[in-house]
Parts: sequence; C-alpha cells; structure tokens
Amino acid sequence: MTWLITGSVSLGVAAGHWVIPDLWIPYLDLVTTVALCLILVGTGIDLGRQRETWRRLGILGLRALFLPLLVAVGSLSGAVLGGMFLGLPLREAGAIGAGFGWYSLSGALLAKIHSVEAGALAFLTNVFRELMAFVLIPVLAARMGNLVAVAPGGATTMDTTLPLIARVTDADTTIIALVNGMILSSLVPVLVPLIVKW
Amino acid sequence: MGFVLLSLAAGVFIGWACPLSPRGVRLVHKITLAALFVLLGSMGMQLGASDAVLHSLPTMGLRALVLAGASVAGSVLLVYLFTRLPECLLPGVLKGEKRGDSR
Repeated sequence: MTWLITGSVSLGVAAGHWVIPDLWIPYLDLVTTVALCLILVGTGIDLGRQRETWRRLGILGLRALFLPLLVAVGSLSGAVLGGMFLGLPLREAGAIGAGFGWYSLSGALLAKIHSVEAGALAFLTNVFRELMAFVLIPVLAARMGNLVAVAPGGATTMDTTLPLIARVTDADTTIIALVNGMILSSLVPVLVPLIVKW
Repeated sequence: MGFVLLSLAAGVFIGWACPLSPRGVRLVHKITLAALFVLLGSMGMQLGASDAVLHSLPTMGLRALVLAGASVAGSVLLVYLFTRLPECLLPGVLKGEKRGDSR
C-alpha cells in the first residue's frame, strides 16, 4: 500500500511537470478539496461505526487516553525540536508532527490550508514515520516493553501497523494500540489546521 | 479548515447513526481509496507543476527524515519514561509494563 501511495504521488509529480497544461493547474485545488472531503467522510463513517471500540474506550475511561496523550505530546515536542534544529517555522513543524504518521491526510491538509511545500514535507515526514515504525516496533517490543512499541506507529496503530503490533505484543496491547490509533487519527484533522493557523 | 471538521463530523454521525452492511462498508472503503489516489495524484501534480518545489525535493527529503526521527524519538522517549515510573504513580493503562514484561 505504501508503495502504491508513493507511486501515485510520483506519477502525479511527473504528470504535473510534463503532461498537465498550465491552464488546468488552478482546477487541481478543487479536485484536492473534493477528494479530501470524500476521504474525511469515509474515515468518519469508519470511525463512527466502530461502536464496540468506542464502548471499550468508555469502559477504560480516562486511562485509555493516557497513551495517545503521551504519544501526541512526544510527537509534537519532537517535531518542534526537530523544526528548531532545521530552522523551520515552529507552527509548521508542530503541524507536521501532528500528522502522527497519517501521511495522506496531513500532507493534503497542509497543502490545502497552508502551502504545497509544507504539504509535501508533511507527506514525506509521515511516510518516513510509518516506515520507521515498521522497523522499530519489533525491536522496541523486545527491548523496552509492549506499550513503548505502540508509540512510533502514531495514528497508524489502528490500521497498517496493527497486525505487526498484534504479532509482537499481546492481546491487551493490541486493543490499546487500536484505541491509540483511533484517538490519534481523530486528532489529525483537528490538530493540523489548529496548530498551523495558531 | 471548517470543511475538514464538518466532513469528518458528518462521516462519524453517518457511521454511528446508520451502521452500514458489510457490502456498504466495502463500498465506502472503495470510494475512500479511489478518492485517496485522486488526492495523491492531484497533490503530486501540484508539486510537479512548481519548479521551485521540485528543486527543493532533495533537501526536503533530509528535513523529512529529521522531523520523522524527532517525532518518533519524542513519543518513544515519553512513553518509555512513563513506563519506568514507580508502580504507585503509574496511570492504570501503563501498569504491568515494567522492564522484561515484553515477549
């Protein structure tokens, strides 16, 4: 999937550079907006229909919010520090960190509401985060504990990295990872615009 | 920014209020996936159409690596530090996560 997605972007870059006439470029913004709305409605439907997970979240109460809270604060602080090191505007670095590994949405959001450059950087950063998560999850589970292994995945712990987490940790951690991913995924469309417009 | 939250909220409401059949869920997944590819292609085209952005791609790759590494390090470090807290101070969800508990 990751390769299909990066392939689509690369194909788009090549088409944008060599094939698409300049007159069409302004309409791409409309295409992006409509596609983004469809994705958000689809993601919302997916989140809303998982009643069992939300119920479980209700049973776990505030405790279930603790892990995503730590992951969110850690990601944002890390990204802001990284941004300071690179000389990036802090709001931009923070918004990129608030992608939590959801590269398609964070990239598209920043491209739409901030700048195409920031969108591209968010996309690449969050692709790298997901790839790093795949490498780190088994190592962290073995050396630092199951919960620490959930941290690098961010929002992806509800989908792409969940099977790997299930394989290298236990059932309890897998449920916590699913809830962690759902909460962080719900935060991406809220935090990215909030931070960049702050 | 408003359309982002509105679209998401509308989706959550639809998903919660009218649970879809498995066929409906598959259809929603297909539409979302198709929209994702359209979105990524369109984003790519916007990038490719700008010479300034294209020239900065190699630098951008390096920046992205730093930002991704820093985000991952920040979240791992914070969760690790909290799992090392004394048992009495740990929030419930982190209990039982002492050193050597992992498989």
